[in-house]
Amino acid sequence: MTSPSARLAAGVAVTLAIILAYAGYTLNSVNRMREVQTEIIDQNRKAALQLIRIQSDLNSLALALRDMIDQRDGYPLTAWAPQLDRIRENLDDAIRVEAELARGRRDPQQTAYLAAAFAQLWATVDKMKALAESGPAGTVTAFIRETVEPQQQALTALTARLLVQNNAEEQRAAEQIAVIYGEIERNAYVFLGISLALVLIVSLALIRSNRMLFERLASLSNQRRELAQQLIATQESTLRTVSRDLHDEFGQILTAVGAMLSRAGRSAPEAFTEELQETKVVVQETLEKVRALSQALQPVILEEQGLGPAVEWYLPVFERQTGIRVLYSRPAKAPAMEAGRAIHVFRILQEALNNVARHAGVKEVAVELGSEPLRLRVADQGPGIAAGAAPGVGLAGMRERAEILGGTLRIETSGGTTITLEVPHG
Amino acid sequence: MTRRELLFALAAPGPRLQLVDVTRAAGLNFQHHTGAFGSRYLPETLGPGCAFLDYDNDGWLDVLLVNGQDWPGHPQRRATLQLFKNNRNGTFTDVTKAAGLDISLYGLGVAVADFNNDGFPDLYVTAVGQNRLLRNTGRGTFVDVTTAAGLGNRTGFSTSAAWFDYDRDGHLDLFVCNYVRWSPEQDVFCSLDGKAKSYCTPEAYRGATCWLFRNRGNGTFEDVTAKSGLFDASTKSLGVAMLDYDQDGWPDLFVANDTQPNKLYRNNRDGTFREMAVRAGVAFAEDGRARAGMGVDAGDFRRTGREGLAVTNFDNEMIGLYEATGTGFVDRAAETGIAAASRTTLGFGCLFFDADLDGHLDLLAVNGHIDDSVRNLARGPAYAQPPHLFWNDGKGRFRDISGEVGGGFREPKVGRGLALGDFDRDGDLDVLLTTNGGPAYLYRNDVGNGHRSIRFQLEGRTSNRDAIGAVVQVEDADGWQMRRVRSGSSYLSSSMLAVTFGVGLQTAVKRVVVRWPNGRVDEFKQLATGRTYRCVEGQAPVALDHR
Repeated sequence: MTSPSARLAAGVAVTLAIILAYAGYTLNSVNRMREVQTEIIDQNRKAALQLIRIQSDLNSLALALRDMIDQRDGYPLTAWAPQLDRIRENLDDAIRVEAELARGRRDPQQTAYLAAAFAQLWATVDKMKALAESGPAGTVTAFIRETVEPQQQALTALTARLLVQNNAEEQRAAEQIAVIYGEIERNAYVFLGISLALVLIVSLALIRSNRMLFERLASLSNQRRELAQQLIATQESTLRTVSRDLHDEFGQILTAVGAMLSRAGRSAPEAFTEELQETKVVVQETLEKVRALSQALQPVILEEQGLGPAVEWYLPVFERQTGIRVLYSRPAKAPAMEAGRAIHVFRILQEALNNVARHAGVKEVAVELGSEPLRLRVADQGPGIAAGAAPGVGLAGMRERAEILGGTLRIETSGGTTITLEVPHG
Repeated sequence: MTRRELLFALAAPGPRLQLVDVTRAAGLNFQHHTGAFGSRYLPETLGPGCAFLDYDNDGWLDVLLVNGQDWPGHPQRRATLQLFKNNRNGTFTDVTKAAGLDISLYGLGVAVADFNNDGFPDLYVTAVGQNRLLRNTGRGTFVDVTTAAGLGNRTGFSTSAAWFDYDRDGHLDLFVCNYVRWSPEQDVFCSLDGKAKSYCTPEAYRGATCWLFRNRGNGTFEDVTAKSGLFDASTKSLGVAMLDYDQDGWPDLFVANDTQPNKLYRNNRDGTFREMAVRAGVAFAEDGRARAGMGVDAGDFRRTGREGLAVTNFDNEMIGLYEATGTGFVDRAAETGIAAASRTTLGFGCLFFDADLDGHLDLLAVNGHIDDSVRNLARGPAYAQPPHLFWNDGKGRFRDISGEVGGGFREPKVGRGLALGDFDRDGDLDVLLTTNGGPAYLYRNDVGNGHRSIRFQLEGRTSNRDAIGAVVQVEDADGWQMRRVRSGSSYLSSSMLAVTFGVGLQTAVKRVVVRWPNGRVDEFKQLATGRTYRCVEGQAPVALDHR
C-alpha cells in the first residue's frame, strides 16, 4: 500500500494548473481585446477628430470666402491672404495627420484623390489671391463664387463622406469587437466547462482512491482485531484447561496420595511414621499450591459465584503478593455478567493492578466496581505514564478485551494513572 | 494638516499685506450702466473698463471709469464716462463735466497714452459703435479728435486696446481688439434652461478683425490692419498684451480670443506681423481646444528675463499661465497651483504685480460670470465670484491669498476691469477694479512687512514720450528683474505706466538698465530704493520721493 500524499499533491497540482490555464486564457483574451480596441477604435477616433478639424478649417475657409464676397469690413481683398495662409497651414497639417492615421485602412486611390482635390483647391485659392492683387474686386468675387466656393463645397462634402466612412468603419470595428467578445465568452464557457469537468474527475478519482485506502485499512484493522480476540480466546481456553487439569487431575492425584500416606502411616513401622507425616504435609501443601495456581489461572469462583466475589477473592491475594493496600469500593448490587465475558473484566483488573505494582511505586491503589452499567476503575497516585512511552502489550490487551466486551477503556494520566472500563450492556 | 505642518506653515515667510477697501472714503461714486432691459444683449455682459492716469500731470494718479448707456428705444438713465481727480489726500473729486468727459456712449474699454507726445495722457475709449479718441488739451480737459485723427466712420464691437510703437518711429500706434459682429438686429436667442433667454456665447456670432492704426505723427492715423498682416475676420478678441517674446527689441502682440485660438503676432520689423500662436504653444489649451480667453498680461514671473503670459478663461477652463521657453511657451498653470485654484472661476482682468514687494511677480485676476441666470442652474457656477490674488513664493508655486488680505477683498463680485497704480504714492501698487452692472472698487495696498520698492517713470525723447515698450532691468542681491512699460494688458483697462520693482528689505539696487523702444540703452548703478526715479531718455535719473 502506497502513501496517498503523492496522489493528493498531484490532484492539487492539476487543479492549480487548470486555474492558471483559465486565468491565463482570460488575461490573454482581455489583452487581445485591448489591442483591438486601441488599434481600431482609437485610430478611428483620432482620424475622426482630424476629419472634424479638416471640416472646421473648410468651414473657416467658407466663412472667409463669404466675408470676401460681402466685403463688409471695407478692406481690400488682399487683406485676407494671411488668414487664408493660416487656414491652409492648419488644413495641411490636419490632412497629413489624418492620412497617417488612415494609412493601410483607406484605399490608396482615395487618398490620392483627396490630396489631388486639396492641391486643386489651393491652386485655385492662389489664383484667386493673384487676381485680388491685380484684378477688379468684381472679377475676384465672381471667381470666388464660381470656382473657389464650389471646390470648397466639394471638399466639405468629401470630408463629410470620409467621416461617414470613418463612422462605418468604427461600426464595423464595434461589430468585430462584438464578435470577438462573443467568441471569448463562448470559449470562456467551454474552458470553464472543461475545467470544471477536469476538477470533478480529479476529485472523484481522489475520493475513490481514498475510499479504497480506507476500506483496506478497515479490513486490516478487523483482521487484526479478530486475530487478537482469537488469541485471547485461545489463551483463556488454554488457561481454563490447564487450570481444570491442575485442579481436577493433580488435585485428585495429590488427594489420593494424601489418603494413601494416611493409610500407610497407620500400618507403617514407628521409624517411618514421622517421615510419612512430613511427606503428607508436603503433599498437602503441594495440593494447596496446585489449587491456588489453578484458581489464579482461571478462578473457578468467577464461574461459580460471579465477578463480584471473584474480585473480592483476588484483591486480598494481590495485597498479600505485593504489599500494596487496595481500597476497594464494591458495587451496591452485584454485577450480572456471564463468566465468559466477566473473565475479560477480571483480566483487565489483574493487568491494571499488575501495572500498578510494576510501575506506580505506590502504597495504595483504589479499585471501584460499579454495576448497571458495569464500570471498573483502578486509580493510583503514582507518577503516571510518561509521555512518549511506548504502549505495552498489556495495555493493548486491555483495549482488545474492552472491545470484545463492546465497552470503552479510558486511561487518564493526570496526577497518577486512572484506568476506567465502561461496558454499557453487561 | 498635522501639527508639524501647521508649525511649518506658521514659520514659513508669507506675504504681509492688506488690501483696504477705500472706495467709499475716496468718493468713487460709480455705478456701471449696462442698459439691460430684459433682452439680454451680448455687450451688456462685457463692461466696463477702468484706468489709472495722471490726466493733469500733478504727479498723483486719477481714475477714469468707462460706462455703458441705454439701448435705443429703452431710456433708463443717462450714464457717461467718469473722471475722478486725485485730491492728494486719499479722496477724489468727480471732474467728469469739467474735463469734458460727460460723453455718453456704449463704452467698454479704455487705453491711455500720450499719442501726440505732448506730455499729457490721451484716451482711446472702445465701445459698441464708434470708438473715441480723446485728446488731452493739457488744461484739464479732453477733446474728441476721433474724426480728425481719421478714426471716425468706423463702427464695431471693440473691447481692449493698446498703444504701442510697432514700427519704432517714436509715435504710438494703436491696436484695437474687436469681439464679434453684433447689432441689436442680429441678436440671437440663446437659452441656458431652454426657456428664458440668456446671454449667448460668442459661438453664436461671426468674428471680427482687430485693427491696427499707424500713427503718422501728425495727429492722424492710417489703418494698416491689412497691410501689416493682422487682418483676420475670424477672431473674437477680448484682451491684448504687448511683449517681446523673441527678444529682438521689436514689440510683439498676444491677443486673447474668446472660443477662438489665441493669436501671437510676431513683429517682422518691416511693418508686418506673422502669426505664431500655434507654433509657440499658446493658441489652444493642452487638450487642443480653443479656450474662452478674456484678459491677458505678460510678465517675467520666473525672473528669467523672459516674459511669460497669464490668460484668464471661462470657468472649467482655468487660467493659462505660460512660461516662456525662449522659442515658445509652456502652460505651467497645473504645476504652480493656479489651474486647480481657478477651475471654477470665470476670469476677466488679470495683471502681474509684486503685491508684497518681495521681488516676485504675483498675479491678480478678477472673476465673475457673464450670465446671472447661472444662479438658477443646479450645481452651476456662481454669478459673483471672488477674485484671485496668487502670491508667488519664488519657488515655482502660487498660492491664492485673496482671503488673507482683509478689506472684504475676497467678497464675490462680478469682476471685469482691473488696473493698478499707486494712487497714494506710498511705493506699492493699489488696485482698481470694476464690476458688471455694479460699482467700481478701490483697494489701497498696505504692505506691512517693511518691504521697499523702486520705481521708474520713463520719458522718451526720440522714443515715444511715454516710453511704452521700454524695458527696465534691475539687478539686486537676488539677481535680475525686468518690467516693461506697457499699455493694454488686463481687460478693457489701463494701468499706471511707471514700472515698480519690489526689492524686499534691500535699501539699494546694484544696477539698472533701461532699454528704450528705439534701441538705446541707458545704465545706472547703485540706486537707493524707496524712491521713484524720473528717467529721461539719455539723461541721468532724478530721484523723487514716493510721496
